[in-house]
Amino acid sequence: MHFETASDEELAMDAQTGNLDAYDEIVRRYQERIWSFLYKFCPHQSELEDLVQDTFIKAYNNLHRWQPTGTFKSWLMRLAVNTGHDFYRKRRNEPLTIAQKTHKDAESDPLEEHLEEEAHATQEHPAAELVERIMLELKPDDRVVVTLQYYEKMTLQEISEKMDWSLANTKVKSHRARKKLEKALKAHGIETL
Amino acid sequence: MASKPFNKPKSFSELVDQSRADIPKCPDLRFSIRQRLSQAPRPEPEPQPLGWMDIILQWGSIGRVKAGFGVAFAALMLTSYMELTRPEPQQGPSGPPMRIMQQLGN
Repeated sequence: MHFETASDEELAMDAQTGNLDAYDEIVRRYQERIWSFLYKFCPHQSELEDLVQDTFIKAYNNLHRWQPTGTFKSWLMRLAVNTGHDFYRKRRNEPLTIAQKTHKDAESDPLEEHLEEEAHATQEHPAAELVERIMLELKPDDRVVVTLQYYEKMTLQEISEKMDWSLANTKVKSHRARKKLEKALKAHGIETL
Repeated sequence: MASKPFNKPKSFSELVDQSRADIPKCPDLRFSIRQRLSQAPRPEPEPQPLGWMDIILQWGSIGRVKAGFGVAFAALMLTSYMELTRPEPQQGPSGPPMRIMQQLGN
């Protein structure tokens, strides 16, 4: 089989039998998309690399659950959304996140030096840093809704399907997320959505 | 290093568009992923829910076990019955055994 010309579904079916070459091609096709999607949940490159790898490994280990009736791309992206959501939920429960720590003054402590480096990295990207500071004020579900609505330009119907939420529930979550986002934006001097 | 000039956006949508440009380039992760996949054993797929044919076959095997027990029980009963109906040896040092009915009759 020529992997470059094969469809995602053909590659996935081949990978289901344990063909790692076919799975390599899937990774090649989607790593950039998943990387840029998960960046909105984890803007630190070293952690982001692990998160993207974890998504692909989880997908490979669950390939038997994918049914050829649906598109592979949609299934994979759904897995990425869940990975980002879980990561952010765990991270948010930690007492102090790296992104919050970057705002503290760094001293001569090696850990502080490392954090300072991370802070420099984000200062080179002020827009990304500001988005991260605003997003940190949102709960995991709200962050997912905002990310899917504003970055991925998804409709509420699409979000409800992706997240396995009812449409009514998605509308409520979206309304609540927008309210919180508006409040967070005002605190950072941005007036409108 | 001089930082880039940052014009604070007026809306969240504008901020989102600006931040898209800040996303770092994705490294090629194929090698690392493949390495991790070839090191870790692949988990066995979970068993699928039973179809009606599987259920019938399962019932069939349970039936075979039940039938086996039934045959063994029937054989036991038959041999016990045959043992009971087999005539006792009549001769002994004290003469033939006295039957209860005979005693009651007298």
